[in-house]
Amino acid sequence: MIAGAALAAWLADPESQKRSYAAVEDCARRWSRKPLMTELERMLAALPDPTSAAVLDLARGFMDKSDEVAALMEELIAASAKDPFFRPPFHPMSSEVHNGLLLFHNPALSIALGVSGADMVAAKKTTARGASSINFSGVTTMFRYLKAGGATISFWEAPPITHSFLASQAGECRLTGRRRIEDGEEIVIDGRYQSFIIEHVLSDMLYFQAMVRPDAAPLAAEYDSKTLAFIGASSTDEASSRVQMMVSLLRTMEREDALPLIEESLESPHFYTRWHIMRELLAMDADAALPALRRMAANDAHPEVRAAAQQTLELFFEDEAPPLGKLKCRA
Amino acid sequence: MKKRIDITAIPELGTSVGMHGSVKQKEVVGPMCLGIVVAIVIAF
Repeated sequence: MIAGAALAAWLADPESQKRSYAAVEDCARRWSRKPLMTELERMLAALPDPTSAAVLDLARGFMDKSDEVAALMEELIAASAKDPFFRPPFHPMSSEVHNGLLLFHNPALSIALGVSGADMVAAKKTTARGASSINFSGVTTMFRYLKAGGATISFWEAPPITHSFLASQAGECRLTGRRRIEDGEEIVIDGRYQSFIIEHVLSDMLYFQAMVRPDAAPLAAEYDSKTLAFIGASSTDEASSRVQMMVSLLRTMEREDALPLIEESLESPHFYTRWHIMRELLAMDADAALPALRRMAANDAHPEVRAAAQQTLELFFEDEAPPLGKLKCRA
Repeated sequence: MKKRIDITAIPELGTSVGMHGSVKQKEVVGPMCLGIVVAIVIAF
């Protein structure tokens, strides 16, 4: 925040504010039309088969245009120096260990340029309290380190995350290597089974990060950093999580008029979303849910969904109990 | 009258999957913190 006399003067002067906003808009307009951005959009749209490898190659092409990215950064720095109220027209990104700008975003690919401060990493490591995790993000991420900061990174692997993922078979993650990385080095992490930890760093790290969404796993997995055991999972699909929350809200609001829409969302590719929605449907109108519940019990691709659906049929629908001949003798 | 089932009585999956971006524990410095930040920025 820029406090004090400069801020007071800017707030009191509508013309200064207009100039600041105009500079931001002008910068955004010009850079959105530059080949650096438009060519990548065009090539992504033209991909006949947008696999993660194909999208990754396009991300490399963007990062190779270092002169154009440098020109962009020089312009942003110059504009910020000229007017302290100029804001780069790119989403700022920050976490405990890094700051950056989101340079490009498309449903298939996001590219950011960021800095991880050596002091930020050190502070996080020295002030860490309680249990911590090694995360497998479920998506492919590429890092190109323009300045590697003398960092040492450890590499980890876990059983691959698939659409039939079972927590009971997630096992443990394991260390596969540890080494120092060099300036200019590129690291590709397939988050479906790979992860890494920055063990220590000597100076600030400057890097491109590309997140590639095609072929993503349905979930991210978390392993305890001490025991290395699986401890939890979360969805990699933000839209799917929003659908789950909206369906729960509709059930709480007793919006039965939404039933047809809710039934449509049972076609989710994610097993956890399908079952979440089925539970909500059963709570709203069990008879209406019954045909889909039967189909789930018989055909769902995920074994836990099939088992939960069958158990639900037996618990709540008398006619759906297994035939007597199939019951086990308890004697 | 419609048959409704108490949602808390309906079986849950053995594999519990949290909402996008949720975590059980703090992360050791790695890829997830950056990934979630990208996703959150895009969402807003």
